[in-house]
Amino acid sequence: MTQAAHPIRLTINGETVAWQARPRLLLSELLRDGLGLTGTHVGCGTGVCGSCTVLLDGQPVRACLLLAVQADGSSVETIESVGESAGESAGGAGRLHPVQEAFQAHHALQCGFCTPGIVMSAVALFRATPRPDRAAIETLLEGHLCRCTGYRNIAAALASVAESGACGGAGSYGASRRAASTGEES
Amino acid sequence: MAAGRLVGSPVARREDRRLLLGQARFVADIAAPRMLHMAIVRSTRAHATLEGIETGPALAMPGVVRVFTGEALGDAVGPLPSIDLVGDGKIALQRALASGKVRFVGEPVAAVIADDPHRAEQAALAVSVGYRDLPVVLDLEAAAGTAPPALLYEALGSNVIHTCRQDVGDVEAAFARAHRVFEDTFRIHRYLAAPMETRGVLADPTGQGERITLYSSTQFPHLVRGFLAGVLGLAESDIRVVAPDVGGGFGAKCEFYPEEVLAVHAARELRRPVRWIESRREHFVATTHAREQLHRVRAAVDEAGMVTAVTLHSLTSNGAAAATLSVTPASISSAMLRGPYRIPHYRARSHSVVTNKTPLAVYRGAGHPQATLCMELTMDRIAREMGFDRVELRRRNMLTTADMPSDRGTAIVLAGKVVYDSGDYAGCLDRALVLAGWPEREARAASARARGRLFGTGIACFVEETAIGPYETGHVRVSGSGRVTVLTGASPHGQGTATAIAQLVADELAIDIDQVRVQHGDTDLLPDGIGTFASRGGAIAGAAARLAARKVREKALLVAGEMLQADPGTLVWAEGEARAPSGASATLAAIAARATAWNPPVDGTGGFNLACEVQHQVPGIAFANATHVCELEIDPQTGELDITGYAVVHDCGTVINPMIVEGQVIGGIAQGLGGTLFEALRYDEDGTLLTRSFGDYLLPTAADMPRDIRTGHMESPSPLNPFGMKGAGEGGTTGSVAAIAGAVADALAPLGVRVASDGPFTPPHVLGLIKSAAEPVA
Amino acid sequence: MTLPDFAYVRPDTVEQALALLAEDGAMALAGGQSLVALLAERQVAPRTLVDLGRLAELRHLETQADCLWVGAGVSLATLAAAASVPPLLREAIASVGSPPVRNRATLAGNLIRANPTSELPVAAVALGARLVLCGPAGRREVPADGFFLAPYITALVAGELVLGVSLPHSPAPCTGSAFAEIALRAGAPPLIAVAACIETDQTGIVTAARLVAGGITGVPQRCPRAEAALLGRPVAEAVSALAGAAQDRFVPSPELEHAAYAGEVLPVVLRRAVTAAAARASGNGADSP
Repeated sequence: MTQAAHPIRLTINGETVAWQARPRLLLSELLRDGLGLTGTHVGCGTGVCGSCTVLLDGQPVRACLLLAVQADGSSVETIESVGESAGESAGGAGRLHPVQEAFQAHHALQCGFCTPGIVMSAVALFRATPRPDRAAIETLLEGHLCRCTGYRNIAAALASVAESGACGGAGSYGASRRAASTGEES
Repeated sequence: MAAGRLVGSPVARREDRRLLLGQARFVADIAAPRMLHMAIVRSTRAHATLEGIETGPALAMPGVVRVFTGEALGDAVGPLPSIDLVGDGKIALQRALASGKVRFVGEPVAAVIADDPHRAEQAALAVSVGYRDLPVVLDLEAAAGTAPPALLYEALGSNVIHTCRQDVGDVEAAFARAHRVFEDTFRIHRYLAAPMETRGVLADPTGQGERITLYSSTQFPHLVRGFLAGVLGLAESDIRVVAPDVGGGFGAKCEFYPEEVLAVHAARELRRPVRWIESRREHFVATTHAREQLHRVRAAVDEAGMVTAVTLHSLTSNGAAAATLSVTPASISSAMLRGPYRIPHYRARSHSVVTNKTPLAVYRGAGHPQATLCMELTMDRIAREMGFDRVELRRRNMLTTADMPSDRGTAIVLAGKVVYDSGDYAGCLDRALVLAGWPEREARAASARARGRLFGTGIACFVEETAIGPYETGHVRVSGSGRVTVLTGASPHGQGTATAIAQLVADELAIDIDQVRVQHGDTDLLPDGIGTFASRGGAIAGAAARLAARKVREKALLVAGEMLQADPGTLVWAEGEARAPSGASATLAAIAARATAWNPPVDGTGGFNLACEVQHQVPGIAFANATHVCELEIDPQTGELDITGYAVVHDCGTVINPMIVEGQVIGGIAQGLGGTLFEALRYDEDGTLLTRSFGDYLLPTAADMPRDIRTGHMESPSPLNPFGMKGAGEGGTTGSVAAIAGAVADALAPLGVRVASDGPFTPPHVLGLIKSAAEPVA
Repeated sequence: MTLPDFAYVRPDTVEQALALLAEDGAMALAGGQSLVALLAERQVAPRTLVDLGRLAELRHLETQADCLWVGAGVSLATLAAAASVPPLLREAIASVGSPPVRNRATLAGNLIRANPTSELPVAAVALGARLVLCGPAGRREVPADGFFLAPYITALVAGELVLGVSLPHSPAPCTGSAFAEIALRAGAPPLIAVAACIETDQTGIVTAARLVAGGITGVPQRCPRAEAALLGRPVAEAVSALAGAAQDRFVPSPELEHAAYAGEVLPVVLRRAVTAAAARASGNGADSP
């Protein structure tokens, strides 16, 4: 049985990555083991829990259900591209994305394992709609399991970002960080 | 010390930033050079003798380095201990790899070590195991009976590995003079904790002689170190255990597991790091299960509705071997069944029984949810059948604040005697009812009925063991920069304990919280600690840390006295510095610098450096309490259930961080809700576990949570804790299981349905209950 | 778990894809939301995965004269957002998986999987959808209500692939459709799912009714007695017509754990779906969920 590697080329957090991908290599494995981007977590491996959610061409997808070869030519964004970590030496004072700030302010995370996946879904939602309504937030949460928080604070955090409109407009956080992605099927 | 600026405040968590930025390091995120990967071959039979393991083909596969079997390990690797089990039942300990016999589907039979995870898994699939089937023991009553289908441990002569006994007063006499006797058998089903992060281990021989480091997704690294030493015959000082970031535990990770032993053993033999990351599919069979019990409860009641006596005959389905905490579910449920109620006479016999299923241990609540359900459903039944108001009945039977401390006459294994320290149970009940809008419920009930719905309310009043001992360690050290480092034996995995401890220490030293850094989870950092479970992090580790900070402050005053040439007794500590009447002051940083061994010692301070360590021993269990009230509607045509109201008032003594406590309550409610409405582990008749993914095993989602959970809290400080603190981690689950089940029972009672289980109350199950009540009795 | 090994090919045309799928052990990969999970659980072991994901021919989503054409490669998210998507389908899609899954999953992929409790097969039958298949023997069309043969088994034969699904426009002046289901938990696959499509003439008399239930017999099941009860009656009386009619009874599939329950509650869920569909049909004539 041939498992020949396929050369793929994709953009990950703005950087071009060339990789020899075995067919069975999952995008989650490429990110975590291949590139050391361990912020994307694998909680179930069957696409249910949502911990592995990343953005593919701007849309939330399950990295555990995507073969790396399927992501050839696409742009991938992971949690490592959200917020700026200036490092401990600078007092860890880099800017956080409004969603990250809201999560801290509202105690929307406990163990943090499911958190990056939810943040990625939220980043995509707020890019598309700076002030999503309650139904849109509920739809987002359909795709994420959390075992620690009971969800109330997560919903409150997202609602507060929606109310503030912090992710909309030219002068907002999002404008300078928007990746060059179309969000449409190619 | 004045009331804190920080303690009692909803301070944002210091843990969050790196977690939000994707900088967490869970075990699966940690790699080591030349790392090998382990895959486990697991039994596909529930009960069978092993007839040979063929490892040749696996060994021949590329990249495969070693295959271990139980026979090969032999006696060099001892059985895994169970710390709460004494007696003959200790024969039922699990071995790292099965030997001679397998006793549950999923039991580790062989371990394959290869140079990458895929190769390890492929090789594991190539290991062939011969089985000769034995009768499978799944049913709890059959297992415990005198003629079970089989004995899991023949030499024991029985499948009962332990019996907890609780004896209080004279139950015979009480039952003899009872006005009414009520009896019910409650069935509690099997489910599990399912943290979002599965387990994982990385054993790294450090190249420093015999020393080895084990990274493990665990709740108690210090205990793991001790267990490893015992099982592998190593010196504790040669083992370092690190709990890195841990993605939830809930009791499933305060367990010692075969993979921890196997990874260390393999790493030592091969002199290379060995990592194993549990798949979710594996997790369902490989990590401890929870809850499954049967409780036969009899209650004696007098004419006035006083419950004078209760007896409990109880069985716990412990699975195939005694877990690290095996007797605890039986012990807690039997010790705590009476909850906040006086019930002066009580007898319990609570048997832990082995069955051909995954080993069962503790899970958030650990015996309290089951016990509370039994007691509260019994109280409601008494009220209904004797015509009492169910709230009045509870109040009448409750212990009062005047009764505190109240020696209940029972004991919990490892933790000690059950003596309620403080709590206003009736006051808590009253406040919860106000929050729940109790007086107006009839209008809501009428509205539900007008829409063709059944309406039910559940009340769950309970008392719970928290903040158990034996002790916890706190070490506080101030550096010359004025930064304070706290080392704690707590091993939090989401509870925010590092922030809570920082609040306590910062308040004690009157400094900014950002000056304090809390470290945990590494046995090399702090050689002596216990861990995080049984709601003890904030209360006990917090107490130890704050006491250590207090000693640091006292020492600082002595040193400052020398620096300021003043009597320490005249110095005032404020805003992180010592102030003399003269106006001179010395900052924490300056004092720390003075206290180092670069300078002459200061008399009476007991040694160099501004650092102190405290082991805070727990004089007794601190008992928290709460009341949950649940309101729901049921569609009698479909069995669909909708929780329309939820209120909880809880009391965990002095609160460090109300935001964190609230988070624990809501998170706990979600787990109780899941377990009672749809979570269930299902086995087929051969003992194969059918629920192996989140597609089969349904966890609660945001849409399942009641829209409006009203919370309130009270503070009845514990006299057993230097700062009045009790634990808050588990009550949400204990209360919600009982309140939801109670509401279902209340909704269905008018139909003649008697609910005596914890569900799960799925639509088919509820409809089945409704229909069975409608059928005429033959 | 890591996935098993397999080869991977990316054809440029449907023709090439068919040639590759004709080989032994070849499986088609589209959205992958079912297939990759099955691979992860080691429940399938293909020799070769043929990636259809980039075939332009399969990505068309277009309103044609008599139908909406949904190419097999169109994601559920794209389909649900399309202006011309039948409301019933949009409603059913909202119950499938979650937004990230819907960004990759396809209608064709879901129909081929034929999960006996999935909403989309039920919706497809209710909408009178037709699947266009292509294989070694050429093109053929299969109506949805002939496509699902048994749980997880469809009329698709080895070597065939789905080109797309054709959703006929309704000719009737007034239509109303609705979905109703009962699940063990919010967002979980349903125990029973019922789709109702009702068409009326200008005066509000029901001219067509398609009532389809999933979760009982193992395949989407038309409810002929219920449908007959509605035909020719004023849509405003649909619910009472249903109540007065003889009930459809089906043999519960032994392969479905909750099939008996689904059969028991069918009348209730039918009533819910018909109530909503009838209300929409008799609204202002516009079909709006």
